[in-house]
Amino acid sequence: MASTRSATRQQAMYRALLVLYPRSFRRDYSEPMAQLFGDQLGHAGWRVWLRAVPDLTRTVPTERIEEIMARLGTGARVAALAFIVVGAVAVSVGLGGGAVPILAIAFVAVLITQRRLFASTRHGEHAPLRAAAVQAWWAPLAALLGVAMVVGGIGTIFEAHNWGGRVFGSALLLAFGGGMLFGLMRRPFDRLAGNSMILLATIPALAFFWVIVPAVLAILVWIGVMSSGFSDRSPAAPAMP
Amino acid sequence: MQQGQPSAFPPLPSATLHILVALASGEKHGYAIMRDVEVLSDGAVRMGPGTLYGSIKRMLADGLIEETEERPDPDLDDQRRRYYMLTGLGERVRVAELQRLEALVRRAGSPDWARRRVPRLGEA
Repeated sequence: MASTRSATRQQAMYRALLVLYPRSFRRDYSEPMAQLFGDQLGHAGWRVWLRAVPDLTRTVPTERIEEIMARLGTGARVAALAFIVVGAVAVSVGLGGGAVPILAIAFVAVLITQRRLFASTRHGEHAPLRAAAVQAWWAPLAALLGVAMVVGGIGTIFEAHNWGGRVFGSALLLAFGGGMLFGLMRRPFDRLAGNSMILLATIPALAFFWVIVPAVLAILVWIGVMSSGFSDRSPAAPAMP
Repeated sequence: MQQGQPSAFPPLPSATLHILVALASGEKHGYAIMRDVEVLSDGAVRMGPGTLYGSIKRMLADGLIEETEERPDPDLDDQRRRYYMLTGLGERVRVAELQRLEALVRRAGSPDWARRRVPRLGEA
């Protein structure tokens, strides 16, 4: 049993650790959680920390991810997905075939531990990544195309055989690649502007259509953008009398 | 999935099932739920506050439990404590999940199942 003073101090320490949880979770549950910890402390003494610390390390990331996903708009969720896909591709390229089992294990671990992000449940908002993937499946492809153009642009600076290629080739690739990524980020806030930039940025991939993979990606991006609604601007409101 | 369909829930996460079973005997506050879960599981399931209230949050959102309006007598218990109880849906989901587990245990323990021997790799 802990003395009253020690128990108060330990409860205050636990209460301070609750700051790790998202604000909305803290607002609703920090008081009962601290109270519960105090009850456990009175019963089991300092040994309660042996349970509380693993509990914190397990539940804080879960609540954080859930809170972030609930707060993000579809566009931002898509950007997160795109980031994950591009990161996975970068790891694959960097590590070669050895990355495949690592990525597969990471994917399965996320799928198991964060099933709510993907699973279809009673409420649509409980499957944020699934909703994002269904509504904007093409965005990771666009992100991949954008990153490839940026990487190609940087490579061209060093690899082109003449100054014209170095300056114009790299500038064009960097501009189009940057435009694609900027368009993806802009789209959640201004769909028309974002989509316009994304489609414009597919020009190099379509122009060099004999390099088959980027051309196919660009076509898929076009299909995705056009099928998900190019503009969501509502008609102008009628003038007030 | 349709809201209010118990069949849409199972298999339940372990913490959710234990909380549903603990609340079957009446409304309880967090610490009482946690103690009952320990007793129910012979000490095998020991929830921390984060696990318990994370599960409670999701169960409230899914309509499996609800917070009771009534507060305990201040002489008997801390009035700040929150009490939770099963909803009709929560009760149906609890029954459905327990039936599923019963069927699984029955099947797994049957001699027919034990006799089913899968040949090892390389065996003819």
